[in-house]
Amino acid sequence: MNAPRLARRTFLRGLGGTAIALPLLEAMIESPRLCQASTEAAPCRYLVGFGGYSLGTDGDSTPNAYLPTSLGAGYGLTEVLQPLADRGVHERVSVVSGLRIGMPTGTVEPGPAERAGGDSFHFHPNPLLCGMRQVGGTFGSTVTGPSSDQIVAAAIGADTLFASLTMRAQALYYSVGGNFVVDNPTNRDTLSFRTEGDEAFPIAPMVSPRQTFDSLFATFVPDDPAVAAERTKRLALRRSVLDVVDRRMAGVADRLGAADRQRLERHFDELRALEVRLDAPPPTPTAACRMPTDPGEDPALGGVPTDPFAYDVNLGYSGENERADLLIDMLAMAFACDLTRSATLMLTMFQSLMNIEPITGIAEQAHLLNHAGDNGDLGAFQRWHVDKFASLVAKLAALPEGNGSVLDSCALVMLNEGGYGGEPYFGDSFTSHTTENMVALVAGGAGGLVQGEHIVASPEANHPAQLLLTAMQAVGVNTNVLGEVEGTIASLRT
Amino acid sequence: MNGNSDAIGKRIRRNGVVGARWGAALLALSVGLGCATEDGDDDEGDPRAELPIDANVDGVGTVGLRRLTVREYNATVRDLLGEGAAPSARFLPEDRRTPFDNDFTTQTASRVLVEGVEALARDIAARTVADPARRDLVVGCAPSSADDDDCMRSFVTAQGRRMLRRPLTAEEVDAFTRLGLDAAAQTEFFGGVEAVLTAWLQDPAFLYRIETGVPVPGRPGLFRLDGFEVATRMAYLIWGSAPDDGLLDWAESGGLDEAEGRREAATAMLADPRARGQIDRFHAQWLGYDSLSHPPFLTNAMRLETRALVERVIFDEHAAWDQLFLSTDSYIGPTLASYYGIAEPITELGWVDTSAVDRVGILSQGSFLSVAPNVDDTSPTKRGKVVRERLMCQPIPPPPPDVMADTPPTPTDSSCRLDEYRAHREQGTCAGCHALMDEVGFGLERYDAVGVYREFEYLPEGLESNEACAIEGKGEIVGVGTFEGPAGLGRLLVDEGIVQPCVVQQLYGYAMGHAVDDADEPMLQRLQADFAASDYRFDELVLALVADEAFAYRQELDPEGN
Repeated sequence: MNAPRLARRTFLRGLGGTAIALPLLEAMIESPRLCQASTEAAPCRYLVGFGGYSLGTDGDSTPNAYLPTSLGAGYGLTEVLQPLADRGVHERVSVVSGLRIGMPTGTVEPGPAERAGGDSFHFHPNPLLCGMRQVGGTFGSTVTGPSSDQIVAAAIGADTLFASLTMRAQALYYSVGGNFVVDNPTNRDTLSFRTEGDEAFPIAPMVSPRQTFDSLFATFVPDDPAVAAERTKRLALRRSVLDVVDRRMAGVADRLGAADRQRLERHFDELRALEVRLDAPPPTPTAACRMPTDPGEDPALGGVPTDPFAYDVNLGYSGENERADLLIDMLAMAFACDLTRSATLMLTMFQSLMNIEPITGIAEQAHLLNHAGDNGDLGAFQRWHVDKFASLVAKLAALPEGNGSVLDSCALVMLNEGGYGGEPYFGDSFTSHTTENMVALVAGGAGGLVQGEHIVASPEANHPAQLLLTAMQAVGVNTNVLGEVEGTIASLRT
Repeated sequence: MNGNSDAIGKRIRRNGVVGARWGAALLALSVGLGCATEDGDDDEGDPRAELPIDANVDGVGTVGLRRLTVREYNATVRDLLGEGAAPSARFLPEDRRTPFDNDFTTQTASRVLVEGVEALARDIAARTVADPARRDLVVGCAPSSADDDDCMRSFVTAQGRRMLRRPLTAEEVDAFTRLGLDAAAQTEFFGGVEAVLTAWLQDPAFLYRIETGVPVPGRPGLFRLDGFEVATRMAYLIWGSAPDDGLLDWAESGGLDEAEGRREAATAMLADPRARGQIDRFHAQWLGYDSLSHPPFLTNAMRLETRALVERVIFDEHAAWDQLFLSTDSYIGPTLASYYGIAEPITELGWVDTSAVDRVGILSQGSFLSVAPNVDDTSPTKRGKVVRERLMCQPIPPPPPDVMADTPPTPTDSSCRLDEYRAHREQGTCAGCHALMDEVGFGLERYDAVGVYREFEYLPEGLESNEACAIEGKGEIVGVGTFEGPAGLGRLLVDEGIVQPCVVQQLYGYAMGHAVDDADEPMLQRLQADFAASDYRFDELVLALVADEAFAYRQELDPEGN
């Protein structure tokens, strides 16, 4: 039984983690690129982060608190952006303002990468993440394109254990039955979408820190020899069980029709990918790459409010502050150990219904606040996200690599769900349901990204997908098109 | 004994009761048919060769590979391993609702799913062997040593049949026994058991309902299911859980190959408490009240009221299912009595005639009336949509892309909400669809968004009556007729013969795990005729579905997945 197993494992190893058949887009890979301005090659790393809020509340015309008070290097910080200085990364994080996702012009059918008309606000992952027009109209969150992280994964992630990682800190959607917001958080609960033929599929995010730790660091060897021995033994058992499960596929698949076989093969592709990861030799420890602390049991899941339009200070929170910190720790280490080169991190979901009292001291639910609260309170919620993003940047900056740090080879983009101001299509002057005047944060030194400046996107290139394209090119993906959107924000690269 | 072993104890006792009845039937069958061998080493060929095949069967539903839903997974590990409540919550992604949670077209494997399944398998297997009571029931023998081949083999054979829902082949018994003994050699005997359980909990034949069957000659893509596959279909339809030993015995004896055997087995299965839970879940998902937006005490009271009515009509009185819509009695206690404004004191739960307070039938219960509210009041549009789509099986097209559908249209001169809705009638592109929905919703308006009775609209920002806006409470199903209130709506849907064929379609979609389409029409017509012939008894509908010849067949998806 052992010999064939070894043979098959060698074969799997030879696939180098490409058992999950991402299309190998050779044309998209530039010749080997140094992602670090040093003599030592480092892998490029790409991240899309996200917070589920817009930048102003309904009817509140106080200035956009997410917008720096001045342009260029050393831009002036608002309360919302203050964590950039507190975390010591003001000079490493750029702010890109003036972004927008347009609404349909001339016809009710949205044009390229536009939002559909009507109340399509919470349903726009397709334009925001994939550069595709919104389809499905009102309440339509159909996604038709791959998200940028999947294109990056196909181009530069083939050699890593995880072609991409998809994480989410908000543990639950925090709503049950009874209203339009709730039947499902369809496509509002992930940032990553892959395509097969004409169809796009959401990629379920890793939510449990414990499972994420198990998944990412299973093969790492702890320092304590006793712990290491026990871990090795458990890992061996896990492998032998998975090996038996894997072999069961063959007996089943050839009795199924083509469509069913394809669905089951997807399951087993994932299973084999798990086997490959468990078989991978532990990474060589470096100055930056170390096994993070075992996070232990997850923070308890919070209660789900029975009414999405009521607020209960005791519900709607599952330790997201701690979850975000744990995921960020592991994400930073996943980059440092080169476990992945492409990741998404959803801090809060589209139309987040999270209780923000534990993280801001303000007794509000995010979605209700974003509509009816005041901009100052909303700013406290935004600030929490800025702080988390800043903490990731700071961690990566503290992980040495070559002559600099891991951050030098990163392109990290932090997007927000909405923008600030009016919705021209309806003539509203201030509404939370707007995708005008969007602002994003960008960090990392990959591909000569400009760091530490406030840049206003020009009207010729101000779609969020163009920002993503700029970051994609910075990590060596040779494409000028994301979905239906073409071109980059030239002023963001030196 | 702790709760988990209690659960297993109950399972065993229950199987004992049901199994005894089946045992007698089995004995009778085995006399007539010759006893099926129980030995996995049976060399007399594939028992599937004996399956009766009708090459002219029609109305066979298309079914793809179905994964256990989260609820099915939880019920299965509860029944087979004594696992406690909802172990899946932390690791498995939630199922999509369409409105049912078992639509296989929405089930896509992901890394998180596969890793979640693996983590959960390790957790559950470890918990099972750590609890001596659970462990001993699952293992079924006392090992003499870590390398007790006989005990491991007997555990693999008996528990494997439950986990994979069919007898293991000799090769499978060997392979799992070897896994168990190899792992036991590194730990101890029960470490080996744990490894085998961990493998089964990830097995394709456990996680998925593998239906292969035997190809029907001359009918491409059509397969006759074997008895175990039929048993699994029946178990997840009627119990929402795995077949138990008794049902597997029936399958093994060939007792499920013919309609009469399936009918007999399903009749026994409907007597199991799990059937009540499952039929309740079906109705709750169908009408949308399985998750309500209320404080728990109220949600529980409402769910209990509706479940009691469903059980009374279907299981206790074996009455016509349309009594759900006509019943004047309701099972309520003090909570709902005050909620419904019943004057006489009610101190404990019981059946009460609620017709005097305009509560007749399921549609006038708080559960249904709480479905699909708007932000701060009812939405006649959404209520009408629920009635059209769920109760009448008429899909409503989505609104055009240029409208704001989560707010009523621009206020009119009137201060009354319903006048705003009526303004839809004046808007050319809206009028057609909104008439289909809003006119229905208007008839339910005397019940607010949580089901409390009112005669006037509320003033903004509160529950004070706006006496300028009396609610007429009259509605119309355009093209069918007018009605007053939820009781009138229920009566109309029953009298016009609309809701009966629709529930057949809904149940069939639930049984097949996907929305029905034109190809299902012949089967639906047969079932609708059977339902009518039984005077609309829901238990008879379930039996008719299970006994229908097509139930034992499968039409596979075409390569495009359709």
